[in-house]
Amino acid sequence: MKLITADQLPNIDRVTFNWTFPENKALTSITYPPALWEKSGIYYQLNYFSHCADEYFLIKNGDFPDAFSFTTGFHGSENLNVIELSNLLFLIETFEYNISDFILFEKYGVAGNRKIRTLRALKDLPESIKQYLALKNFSFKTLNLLVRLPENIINIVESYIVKKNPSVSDFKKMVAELFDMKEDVPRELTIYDKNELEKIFMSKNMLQNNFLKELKLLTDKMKPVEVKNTDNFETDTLELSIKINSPEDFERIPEQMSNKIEIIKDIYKLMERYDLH
Amino acid sequence: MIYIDKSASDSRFIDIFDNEGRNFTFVNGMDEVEDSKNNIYITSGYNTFVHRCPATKIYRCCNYHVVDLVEGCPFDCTYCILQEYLNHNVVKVHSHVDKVKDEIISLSKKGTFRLGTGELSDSLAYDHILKLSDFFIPLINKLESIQFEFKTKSANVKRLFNHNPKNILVSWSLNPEEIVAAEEHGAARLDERIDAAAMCAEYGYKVGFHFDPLIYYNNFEKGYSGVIKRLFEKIPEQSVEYISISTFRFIPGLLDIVREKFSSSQLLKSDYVSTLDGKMRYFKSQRYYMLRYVVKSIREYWPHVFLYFCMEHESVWKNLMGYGPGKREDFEMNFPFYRKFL
Repeated sequence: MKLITADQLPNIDRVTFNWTFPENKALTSITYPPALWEKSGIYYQLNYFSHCADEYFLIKNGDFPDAFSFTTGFHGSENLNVIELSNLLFLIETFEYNISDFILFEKYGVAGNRKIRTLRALKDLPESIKQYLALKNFSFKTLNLLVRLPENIINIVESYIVKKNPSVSDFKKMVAELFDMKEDVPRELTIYDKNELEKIFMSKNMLQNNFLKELKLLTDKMKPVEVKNTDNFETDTLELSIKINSPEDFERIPEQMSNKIEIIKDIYKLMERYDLH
Repeated sequence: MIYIDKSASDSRFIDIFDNEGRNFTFVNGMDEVEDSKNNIYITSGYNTFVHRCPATKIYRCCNYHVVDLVEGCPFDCTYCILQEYLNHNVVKVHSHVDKVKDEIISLSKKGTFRLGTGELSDSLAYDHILKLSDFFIPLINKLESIQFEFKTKSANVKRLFNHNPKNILVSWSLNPEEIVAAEEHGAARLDERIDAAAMCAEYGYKVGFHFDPLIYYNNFEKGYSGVIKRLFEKIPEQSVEYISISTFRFIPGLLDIVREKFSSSQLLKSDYVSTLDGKMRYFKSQRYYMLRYVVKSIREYWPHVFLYFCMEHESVWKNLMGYGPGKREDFEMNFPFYRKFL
């Protein structure tokens, strides 16, 4: 590396290599002069991206892989988020390299066309979705569905994140539901509307949803006895359970149970009506 | 393209291809073959070719036996379990037909059985190339105790008219045309299948139909009643050996494949529940609705034809058919083929 001064460099590109995400994650306080790599008369800044400095280190006689290795080594490549990986993929493809030339992607399990396609597409997502994804850890399965959503639904996802800041499991479920029902979501719906979406998702299994709603009205009346079926009503076996905290509780339950037989009858009548008994 | 493994260079298929002037390429192994549904790979690998169709105790089955001489199918049905079950797309054909012949003869000595090739492949999709009907039909017709079923979604029946239909049944999987178009990629259109069935029935073959898998969609009632009406108009009831009915079911990984390959599939528009054999199915009320509707629609036209459910819970049988199937061996005796032995 050679130390050079800024006035010798008319053409510094601080954007192309700026792959860290979110941007404020990039180091802000400068310890050493930023590094540059030169190709075809353009000087690419490899670190401290937002900084203009008086002096720079210039990587001499280096190819793109050397620059890539420097920039990822400098910022650390052990804990990259998926948006950073996507930015890095964009970077190597900008310089017409192939993902298989860089072992870093393999370390993150990015192999195969599907994952590469997914990673490539993440770059074009709205900023707020990218910020959310950068903080969480999603499987490529979910990311693949996300990037294949049409634009109006991407807007819904964005709005969902902003309004709800969902957990990983809620987000995963929402993406799968939206993907499955994307043709049924009206094009004019572009924001997260819980009621509207629930209506669409419920249509996937109207009979079960209606049954469970009606059942809940009955099982609520059985409290403190919990009524459950553990096989999705493939059989008509119901499990009744109670929680006690004292012998007195135990004594009291049979008394409470004696007038519940009508509710049990109603539950089985309901099940019969839905062909479950 | 047709590829023949060098270890199968004594295969009968070579003469068949030579006589037809079909091109083929010798290869050293499957890894030299592009893994495409458009390719056929003839291999010498040994296998147990004839076996009983897998079943569970909870979801009742018949005692059907299958011949797995061909693995893979040129059609690309959204719901096909082979996407999850086989690790290749290429249609793999075992060259040891003599071993298959021995196994079928051996089975025939053990009792009376229904047997078919439609488990891991479509029985007739490539019959114009592989000419397996020329192998199976004369063999089966010498064996009194075997009824053989060609199960297909094709209309590729021309070669069947060179043979005696004696113990042979030709059957079609059926779905409404909109489901065929959206979910059964590459398969024959509904009308083509029904026309092929009508021709086979006319020639003297017994025919069968499989409403399997039934798929729920917005137009379910109109769609399925339309198919049944068209069947009734073209096929005489006495030619129909049996009709199976069953709703879509699958091992959990399949939906991820559907999302990847067929992102607008109707299958994604329903929810499924995990059932007692680990497979996913429609919620039981939904299955009842679908099965009841189709049984009722068939019965309106064909009151006597033999109907059965494939892999359904005993309670569903009892409620909709009026009896439980019992053990698979016992239930099997209800199929029309066994009546002549009573």
